[in-house]
Amino acid sequence: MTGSFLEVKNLKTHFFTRYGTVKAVDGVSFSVKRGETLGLVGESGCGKSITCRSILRLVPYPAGRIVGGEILLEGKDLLQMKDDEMRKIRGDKIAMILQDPMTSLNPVFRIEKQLSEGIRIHTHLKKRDIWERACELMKSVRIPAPEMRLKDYPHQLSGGMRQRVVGAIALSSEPALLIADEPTTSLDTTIQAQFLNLLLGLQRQLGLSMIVVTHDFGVVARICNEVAVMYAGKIVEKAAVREIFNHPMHPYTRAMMDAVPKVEERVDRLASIDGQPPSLYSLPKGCAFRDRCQYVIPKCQIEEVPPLVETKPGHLVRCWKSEPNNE
Amino acid sequence: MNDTILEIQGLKKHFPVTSGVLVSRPVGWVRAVDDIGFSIRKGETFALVGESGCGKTTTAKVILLLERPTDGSVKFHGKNIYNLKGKNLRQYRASTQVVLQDPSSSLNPKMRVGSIVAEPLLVNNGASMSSKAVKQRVDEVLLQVGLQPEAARRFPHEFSGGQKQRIALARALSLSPDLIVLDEPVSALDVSIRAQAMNLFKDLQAELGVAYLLIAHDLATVRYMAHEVGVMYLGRLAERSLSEELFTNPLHPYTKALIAATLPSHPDLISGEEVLSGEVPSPLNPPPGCRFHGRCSHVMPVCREVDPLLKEQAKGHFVACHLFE
Ligand SMILES: Nc1ncnc2c1ncn2[C@@H]1O[C@H](COP(=O)(O)OP(=O)(O)OP(=O)(O)O)[C@@H](O)[C@H]1O
Ligand SMILES: Nc1ncnc2c1ncn2[C@@H]1O[C@H](COP(=O)(O)OP(=O)(O)OP(=O)(O)O)[C@@H](O)[C@H]1O
Ligand code: SF4
Ligand SMILES: [Mg+2]
Ligand SMILES: [Mg+2]
Repeated sequence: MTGSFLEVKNLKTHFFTRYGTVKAVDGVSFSVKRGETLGLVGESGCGKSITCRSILRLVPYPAGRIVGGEILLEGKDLLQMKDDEMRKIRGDKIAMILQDPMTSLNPVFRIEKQLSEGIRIHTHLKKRDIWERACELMKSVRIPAPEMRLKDYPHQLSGGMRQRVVGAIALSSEPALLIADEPTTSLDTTIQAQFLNLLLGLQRQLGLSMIVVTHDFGVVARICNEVAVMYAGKIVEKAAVREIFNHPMHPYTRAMMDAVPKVEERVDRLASIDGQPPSLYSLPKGCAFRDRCQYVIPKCQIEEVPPLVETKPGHLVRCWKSEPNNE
Repeated sequence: MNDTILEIQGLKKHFPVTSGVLVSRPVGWVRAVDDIGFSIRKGETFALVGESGCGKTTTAKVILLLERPTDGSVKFHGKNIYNLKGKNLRQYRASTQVVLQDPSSSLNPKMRVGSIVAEPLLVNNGASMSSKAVKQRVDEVLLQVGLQPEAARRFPHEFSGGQKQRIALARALSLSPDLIVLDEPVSALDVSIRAQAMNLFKDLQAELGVAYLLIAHDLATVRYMAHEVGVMYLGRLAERSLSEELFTNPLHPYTKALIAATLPSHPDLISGEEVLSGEVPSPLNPPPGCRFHGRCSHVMPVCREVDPLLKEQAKGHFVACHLFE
């Protein structure tokens, strides 16, 4: 079977609060091909985590609700599924690595218990075999002396090891799609590189599809095939990874790339993006990036939000300036 | 011309590891900092890099008089800071300030921004400064970091992360220090705000001639900010050099591995070098010989037995590795 494993169409997840409605995810569409990795990039609060939680239907309730769209997994809409069907998908097909590794491990249980749980539900193996499978998983995420480590509590492991255990737990159900929300943000450079390599290796071995959430274009460069850049709840640019690095088109994407120092060359002066991301409670009219944009034209202020337009095959941009007649 | 403001020599900080419930006795030592030396020059940035736990913050704490060194010296304009008394000690405290990683937790939430920024002025000058002069100075430093003077009336929670970091910087600047320790100053900030903060640090350095001791684990940040770099591993300096020399001609296998592990700025620039395996061993019992030998891809028999010395390979470029003995 070819094509997309997961297809998200016009997803809308809103929060209804005392202070108003927050459109945390506002008409987001993307797809993930089998065995490929999509990077979801953007700064804090732009809706990356809520997009991921929506896919698993784990949006904080009752304030947050998925109010529209489709999430097609191998053609079947997850949003139409019954709760028990959805639970099965979560235990079986899709696994998620949460933003903070400490919150996804329970501090009062040994690693063994936390890891066995997923295996037991998924495989119905016997006790002895579960233990062996747990050891295997610990080995696959390259934890030395797994037999001993299984007896440890989370606080006895280093940050890098904890993250690998979280990875092992996510893989224990043999998922086809792995959603990793900022999997390496809190880690040392070297441990981060190790973990990203590990993900790449496992992906090759198991044919996993992945969604990787990050605010770091370096992570994208390292492991993604495709990128979607989010800003204030919407995708503002989407393209294959080399295309976006070679020809970034949205002013936000460009600005982000120019604002990051490089290890490979000396940069005299970083271009910085003025201002801050807008509050989702009171988005400006027009383009959400207009107040920070270097290329702003009157049209950006008056008209409605610019549409996401395919400027060349596979490269989508949401900006009035990237329309051919505005060049 | 001698522009050195701080000179660190043979610095050691060992923490006792104790056992026993009633009478605790030391059963070993964590060699957090174990014989390092470097100097910081006026108006320049010296960066310490290295993996978590290698001793960067401990070094800074010794410099900030928050930890007493086990051995070695820190000289401020030629005088050991641990022998300073009275006026000289006050002067040293005033001339070294700090900005920490997390702006939300480093600012007192119950104090107005004006009081936060004024605090070092009041502590250092006691009653000798008129409240008008204090207010004037607060307004001045707030403007220097790009905030409006009316920010003084507000509370920290009313500001974004990047603005809070500016407030912390304004506070550090209030006494016109010679040196500011920046411990991971941008890693808690949003990506789009980081460049603003880094540029601000650089601009103020050019304007005021303040020196920075920058602690960071991201090498790209270090290359952008630093004049000189010390690469730390398990309490030691593995390599020390002017920044551009270090990045264009890294010598120590550990430095090379750190550079290789840094995320690329383009998918075509993914490093072919092998990623460093394993983790930093415990500083409780650092390995014999070269501390890096267990993770080094060039390890030779001598590395397991003899501790390599930091030797000058090119002018101002020091490395501690048997490959260069
Ligand atoms: N429980 C909630 N109630 C109200 N608003 C919420 C809630 N949870 C999230 N939001 C809003 O939804 C928006 C998107 O949040 P999300 O967690 O997806 O951001 P993110 O892109 O993952 O950011 P980060 O990089 O900081 O993790 C935020 O602006 C936030 O204010
Ligand atoms: N008060 C203390 N008592 C005992 N050990 C300590 C103490 N402070 C630090 N250490 C140990 O000293 C070593 C160096 O710690 P330090 O905080 O200097 O590292 P660092 O390089 O700043 O790391 P990070 O990047 O994680 O901030 C670590 O092994 C740490 O556990
Ligand atoms: S001294 Fe030996 S072990 Fe240490 S870095 Fe050099 S080659 Fe590697
Ligand atoms: Mg998030
Ligand atoms: Mg530290």
